[in-house]
Amino acid sequence: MDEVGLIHAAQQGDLDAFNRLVLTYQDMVYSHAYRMIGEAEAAEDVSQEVFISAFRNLRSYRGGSFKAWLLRITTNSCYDELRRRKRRPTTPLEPVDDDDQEIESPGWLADPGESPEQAVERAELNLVIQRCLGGLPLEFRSVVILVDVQGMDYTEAAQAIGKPLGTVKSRLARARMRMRECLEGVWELLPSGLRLI
Amino acid sequence: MKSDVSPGDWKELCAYIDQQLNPKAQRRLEMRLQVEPQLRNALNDLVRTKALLRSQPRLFAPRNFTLTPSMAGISRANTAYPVVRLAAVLASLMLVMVMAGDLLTNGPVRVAYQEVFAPLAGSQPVLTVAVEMDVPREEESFEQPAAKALPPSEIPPLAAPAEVVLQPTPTSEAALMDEMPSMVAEAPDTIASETPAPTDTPPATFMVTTMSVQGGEPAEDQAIGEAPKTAQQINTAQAPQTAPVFSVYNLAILGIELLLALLAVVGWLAVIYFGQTG
Repeated sequence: MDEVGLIHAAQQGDLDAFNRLVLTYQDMVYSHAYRMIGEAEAAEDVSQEVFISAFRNLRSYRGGSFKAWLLRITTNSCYDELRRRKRRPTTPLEPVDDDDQEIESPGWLADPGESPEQAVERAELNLVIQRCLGGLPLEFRSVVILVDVQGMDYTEAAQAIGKPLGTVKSRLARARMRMRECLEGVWELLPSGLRLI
Repeated sequence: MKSDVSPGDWKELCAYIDQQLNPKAQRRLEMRLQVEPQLRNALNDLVRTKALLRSQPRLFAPRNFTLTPSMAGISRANTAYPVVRLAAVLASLMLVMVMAGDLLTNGPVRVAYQEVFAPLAGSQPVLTVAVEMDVPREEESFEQPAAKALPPSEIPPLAAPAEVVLQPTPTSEAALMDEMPSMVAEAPDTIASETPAPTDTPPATFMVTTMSVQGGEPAEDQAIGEAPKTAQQINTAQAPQTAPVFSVYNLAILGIELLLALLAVVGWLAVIYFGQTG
């Protein structure tokens, strides 16, 4: 059964059909949630909530990009989680390094083809990038993640955030400018292919 | 390195690297890139930033996020919701049909209505009057004059002439016996031959005159010459003869209607409950 058929069956209450859609999109949803929030466990919770909410509100899906519809739910859920954290700040349970940054050891981030040194460099770079993303305002962060990290085009990104195309272009430009300013100090960490640009 | 590029130029550069510029704007920007080094530097920074973000590894979900029925809010009750709703609808329809048939025919509801409400709508009180009359024996011609015991103002209007049953009421037997010889002397031949002498006439002490204003129907069951009936006997006799209200058949229909009503109420309550919790 193709995606349209699965969606239609899920709208009729077929949980098995919906779970097949979950398996298709759960990596994308989790990735977006992690990039938005910056924490693995919180991203897990948000991802689960996203799919529960998606199943219950499946009747509101009226066609178009299902991927964009799902990412819109994900973005809004991340907004809610981050706003909730602002009201009630939490103490991280993970150990911190000398810079008081959480030391995460997400094994699923490791590239099995890399050497240990490359893996360490990559981990540091990812940490820096994630930190810079965390420093962006929410509305800029979501757009740059959707377009530059997830690889969506402007139209899909506009659907995912529920804003016009012009707003997407404007927010993307400002987000990239801030990211560039944030990453200026870490260009030396870049892979050699990127340094020459 | 702070960018010397204006926000507008930066926005145009972003659209340029994303192939979002129209051909005319693209040619104009490319011409500027050839002569403006700051613009070229900004473009390089932008390309590097985008590439860096694109280089981020693809993240995989640490576990499956598939939903269980409880997570999806699917319960046995919810699966039973369509069945309960159908049952409630069917029970309601059947109740309406049975009650319609009951009202159109002589079902228990209609009969009960007739028994309870119809008499209250069309009935008037039955008036029973006890009248004492003194009628001479020679005038025992079995005529039926109107009762005169009550004053006219007290007698309710009659819909039809009332039937009055007369019986001879001599004041005393001795007086009767005294009158008899004179009556015989006056018309000895005729009376003696036609009228047999009374022998054992039981003394009638009073006469009951019944005036029924209920449709003016006479007391048919009381023939002339019979012993007077009490008021209660007359009322009971005049009561319309109907079949018993709750025969076995009507009881069965009533039971079915009550059962359907109960099913419909319970069914719709369940539909409301499941609808709220679902």
